[in-house]
Amino acid sequence: MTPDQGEPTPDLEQQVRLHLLSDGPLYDAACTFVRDQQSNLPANSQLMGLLQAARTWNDLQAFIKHQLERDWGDPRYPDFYRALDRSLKEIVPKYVTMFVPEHLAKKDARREQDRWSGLLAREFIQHLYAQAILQPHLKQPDHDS
Amino acid sequence: MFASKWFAPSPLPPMNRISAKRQKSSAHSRIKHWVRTTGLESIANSAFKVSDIFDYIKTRTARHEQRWLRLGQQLLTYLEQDLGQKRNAICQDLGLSNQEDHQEVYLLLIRAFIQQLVAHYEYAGVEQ
Repeated sequence: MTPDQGEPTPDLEQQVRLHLLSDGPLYDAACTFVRDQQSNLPANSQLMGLLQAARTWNDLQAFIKHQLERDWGDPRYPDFYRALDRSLKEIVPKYVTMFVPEHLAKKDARREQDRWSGLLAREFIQHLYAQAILQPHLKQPDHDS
Repeated sequence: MFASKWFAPSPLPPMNRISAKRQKSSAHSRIKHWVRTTGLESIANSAFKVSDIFDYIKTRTARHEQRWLRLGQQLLTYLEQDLGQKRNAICQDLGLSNQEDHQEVYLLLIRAFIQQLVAHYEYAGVEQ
């Protein structure tokens, strides 16, 4: 998945920091999230939609809001999106301050926060997607022996 | 007791042994096919993050779960746990405490392992 075309490219130091966060706390958090939510996981097409929506922070927020407002007729899916919303709002702000300079004007700071929230959330969602499409198969009997 | 240990009948009659060898060859060939067709080596060589390799293995495994579930799971477990521990031991030996160095060592170990895996199954194919 490619970043939003309008975004400036992170510099090398920022990229290294993002990669370390992605390999460490974001990967662990995504795998834990999927294991905790394994009985609520949506279908693969839904997960693909989530992955596509994770291009920007605003798109992702709008997607989750839309999914929460839908009439699913099944409490598992709203539970999943509620938990996802909670996790994102807990994880992303924790790390976004590492990337946004303090001296920025309010408007610029807001823009930078959204940009880095999007990049961090995208890493989290990519790990979540990979674990979530594998998770249902992990309970199946072995077919390869 | 001693004699029976040394002269015990073979655990498998000849036909079963042949069948077991065939099964082993077939597993080798399937693994070789998996390693080749998934592009795992090229992903491992170009990845900047360890998690990119894990995510790739997960999505490929899930997509072909009927055939590759066991292999994909074993590979993930080995890379995440065994190689993760080896990475920690190497970094400790070398006195590397920087997270960036840990990530670099981990990537190098995974690349080397996958390279060996591919070479092994290529050679196993020649042997058959």
